[in-house]
Amino acid sequence: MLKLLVVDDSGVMRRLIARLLKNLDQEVFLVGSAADGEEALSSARRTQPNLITLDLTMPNMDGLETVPLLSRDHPNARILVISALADKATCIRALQLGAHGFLTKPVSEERLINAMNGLIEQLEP
Amino acid sequence: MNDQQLTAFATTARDYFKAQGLPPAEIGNPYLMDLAEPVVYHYTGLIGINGSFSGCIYYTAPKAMLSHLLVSLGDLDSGEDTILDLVGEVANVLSGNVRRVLGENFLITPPLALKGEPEHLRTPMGMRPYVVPIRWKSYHAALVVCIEADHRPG
Repeated sequence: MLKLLVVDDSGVMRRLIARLLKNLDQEVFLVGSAADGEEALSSARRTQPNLITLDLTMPNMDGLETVPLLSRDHPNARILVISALADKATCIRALQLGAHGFLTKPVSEERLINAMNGLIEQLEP
Repeated sequence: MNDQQLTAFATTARDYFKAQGLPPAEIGNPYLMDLAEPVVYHYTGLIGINGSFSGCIYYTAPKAMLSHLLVSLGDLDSGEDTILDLVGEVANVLSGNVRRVLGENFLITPPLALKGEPEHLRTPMGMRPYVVPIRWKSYHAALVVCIEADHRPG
């Protein structure tokens, strides 16, 4: 069973991502959602997700602070950053810190599904 | 703010709808806002700017437009909290996307979402904002940009 943790300070975004799960190539269950990095770390410890979608601009602990901690604690999980920050430097930095993919908001359903399916393929069976 | 930078905000506002497969928005010519007649609709998402620029950006829209946008995005919850969430998220996306042109040192805060139309608007350091008019379907909204390059040393 594949497990997804959604991290975004916008509830609208969290629900949008959750609605797309039914369109993925494999069955993925939403096991947690978090509105900032601190909540994300706590939720990930409890739920042990395989997939994590992560916003960058969030209160308390932002996404760039959170990526290396999630990556360290959950080395087998795939992390997809979904952020409004559209400059190349931020994308490169997120990937260097441990993210496995980067999508710029606003994101279409098709781009999001393709990106998540791509990360699912990378997961070890 | 120069023409290229102002154009970046207009382009970003146009692309917000297009990128999600929504009907396109029409972007009007940006103009300097008259502070005596602030452009503010029912809900506003405010973003603080620092780093290479300082000031603020806000996206402001009527309730009907935000409700319609929520439905278009497949969200059936159009309660007050969700509308406030959406207006903040749109402001976040529009201000974050201009980093394509303004670069990684254009730092943005998480959004502050507000309800209501104030009678007066106080801008940072007496700056006069630019208004980028947005027309989506039959609704009018605006992206208001009140920033200046930060030349302080360090």
